[in-house]
Amino acid sequence: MSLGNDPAAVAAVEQVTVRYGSLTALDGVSLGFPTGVTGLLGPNGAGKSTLLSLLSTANRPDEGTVTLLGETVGAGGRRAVRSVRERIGVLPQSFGHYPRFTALEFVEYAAWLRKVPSRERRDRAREALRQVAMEKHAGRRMGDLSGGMLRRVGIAQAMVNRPALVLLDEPTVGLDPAQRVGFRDLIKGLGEHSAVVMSTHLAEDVAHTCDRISVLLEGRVRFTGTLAELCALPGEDGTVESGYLHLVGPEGAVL
Amino acid sequence: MIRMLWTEMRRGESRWIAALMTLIGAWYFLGEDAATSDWIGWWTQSSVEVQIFAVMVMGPLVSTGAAWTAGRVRRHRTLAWAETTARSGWEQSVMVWLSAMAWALPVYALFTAMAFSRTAGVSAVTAPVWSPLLTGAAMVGLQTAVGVVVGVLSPSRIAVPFVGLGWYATLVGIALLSDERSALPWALVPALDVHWDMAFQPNSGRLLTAAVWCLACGLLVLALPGLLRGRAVRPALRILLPVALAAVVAAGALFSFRAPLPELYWAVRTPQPQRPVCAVEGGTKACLWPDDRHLLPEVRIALRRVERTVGTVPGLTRTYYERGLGTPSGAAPTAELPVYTPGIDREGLTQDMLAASLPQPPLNCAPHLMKEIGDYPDTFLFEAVVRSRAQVQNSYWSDEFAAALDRFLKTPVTEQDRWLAAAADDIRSCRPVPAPPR
Repeated sequence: MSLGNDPAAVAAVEQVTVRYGSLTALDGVSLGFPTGVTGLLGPNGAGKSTLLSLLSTANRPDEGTVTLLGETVGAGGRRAVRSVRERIGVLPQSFGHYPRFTALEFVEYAAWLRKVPSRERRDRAREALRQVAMEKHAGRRMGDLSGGMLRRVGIAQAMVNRPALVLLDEPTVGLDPAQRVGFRDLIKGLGEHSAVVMSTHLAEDVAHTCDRISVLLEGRVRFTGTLAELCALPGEDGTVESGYLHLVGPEGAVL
Repeated sequence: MIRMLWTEMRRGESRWIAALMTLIGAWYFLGEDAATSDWIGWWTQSSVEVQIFAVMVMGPLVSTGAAWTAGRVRRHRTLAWAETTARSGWEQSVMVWLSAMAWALPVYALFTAMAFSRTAGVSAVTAPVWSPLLTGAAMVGLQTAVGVVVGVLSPSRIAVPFVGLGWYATLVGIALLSDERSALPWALVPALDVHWDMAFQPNSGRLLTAAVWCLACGLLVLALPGLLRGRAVRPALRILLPVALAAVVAAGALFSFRAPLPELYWAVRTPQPQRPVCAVEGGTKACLWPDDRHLLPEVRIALRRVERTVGTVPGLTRTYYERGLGTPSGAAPTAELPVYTPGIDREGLTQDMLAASLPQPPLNCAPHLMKEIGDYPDTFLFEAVVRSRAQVQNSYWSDEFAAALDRFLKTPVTEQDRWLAAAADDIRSCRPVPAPPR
């Protein structure tokens, strides 16, 4: 079994193509996601969210295979999908929540959705909230929390099942600079035990959190490598931005 | 599971619906006047009353609340997130359904307690009847399940209030359009809008079959979002198939049943009691079903009035058996005493007994019109005399009729009795009655 180009990958896509009508969102993409933080970069419409939806099992490719945690998605039926989903954590870009639930109740609810055993659910929820420094606010209603706190609860719910694969779609959007700094540490910590795939527009986030970076453009992989390799690409100043601009050109410059 | 259910119960909208229902139910069940009620005093009818209130009022309200709670996945944009978790859509829907039912069922039990306490305050026996209640609870479950599914699937929150309205309209529509002979629509959407006297009791087997149908159907309905929306984990077939089988078998049993009488679709005839309860005043006697023994004091008063009114008239039936009670073979002629409400009073009983005593002309006997009373049928005069002697409410036909009646009532009682006895014979034989004494 080949996991993209990386045999150590926790998740991988191989030659996947996804079409929405006449639009090809992903075109023959092959990528592997090992333990650590992988940043997905690319302009709007590059295929980042489509790739995340494949990794979260929300969608299936029209062509190619998606392998998650040793299971080929679609080949193992209902049980395999459920088993994979039990070990994935997802923070959607537009993270919805139930305003009347307390933070603890909401994370516990997420644990229930991910089939965390009932006797462990409350402890796991508390632990997840502690990891995102929200334990003091565990009893507060979600509707009363600030944007930054909600994002933290979002991370907590994504890690409550101790996932092997964490998918974060624009996790720092809407946070102030100080909150973003805290968040980066949090995400880096997550990457020590899990494969974290983070889609982002923010070069700073990439520079501070990602071990590996993949750049997508028009549904294809333009670059896969380490931060140093991206920065080493020909450019003005050897930064993430310059490497990225080299890959996507000025019209793709959204960083 | 229990903790999640408790969280859902505390954070969902069903608790407000439960509070509203409690107020409405308390007003309905505690505000009913026992003297005029058609259910306070009868255990079966009390159960039916709770059941019909639950299905017609509570079910639409609970389903509306459940639809709103379930619609949170769209209002708060969590649908895509929740659908890509390990819990199947069915399990998620069942959790919302359970939280709504966990509020509804205690309220339902409270209504039952209210209704039963009212009946216990009137009835001389304690015989609660459970099968209509179970059917009602199951039907509320089905209504709630539909609410959950509409909430999850409907993209618009405007659809939510239409769930309750839709249920109410459906039930009213079925009531209006139902073919009473088959009652099949009611079989699949049971709301037992029936009124049984003591002659009938619930057909528990059928009611429990209907309860199984409603519950199984509700659980199947809850699987719809998971089946229709491809991203969610599909419900496990090993759970759904037995539920579907139960629904099919129960529906088949309900469809294939053919009742000899419309009222017997959900009922069976009450077995004859070992000994009916009877009261005697002189030569006048009334026997009741044992469950109606609370009526005996009023029955005795009514019997005394009947005895005073027609006790001296030979040939009139003065032995009454409540409807459905078997009469002893070889005994004197008996009349059927209808008791349509458990709170019937002495006045109603007197009128019913006197009406049951009136001689009946044979079928196809043309009425004989009397000149003396303004060309009204002679049976009208007979009835008016009896009612006037008992001093119960009488019909007013015309001045001429009233004058003739007044003249008659001024004659000696012995002459009145003689005329009544002869007239009763003539009416039974389809002959004109003699001219009234003047």
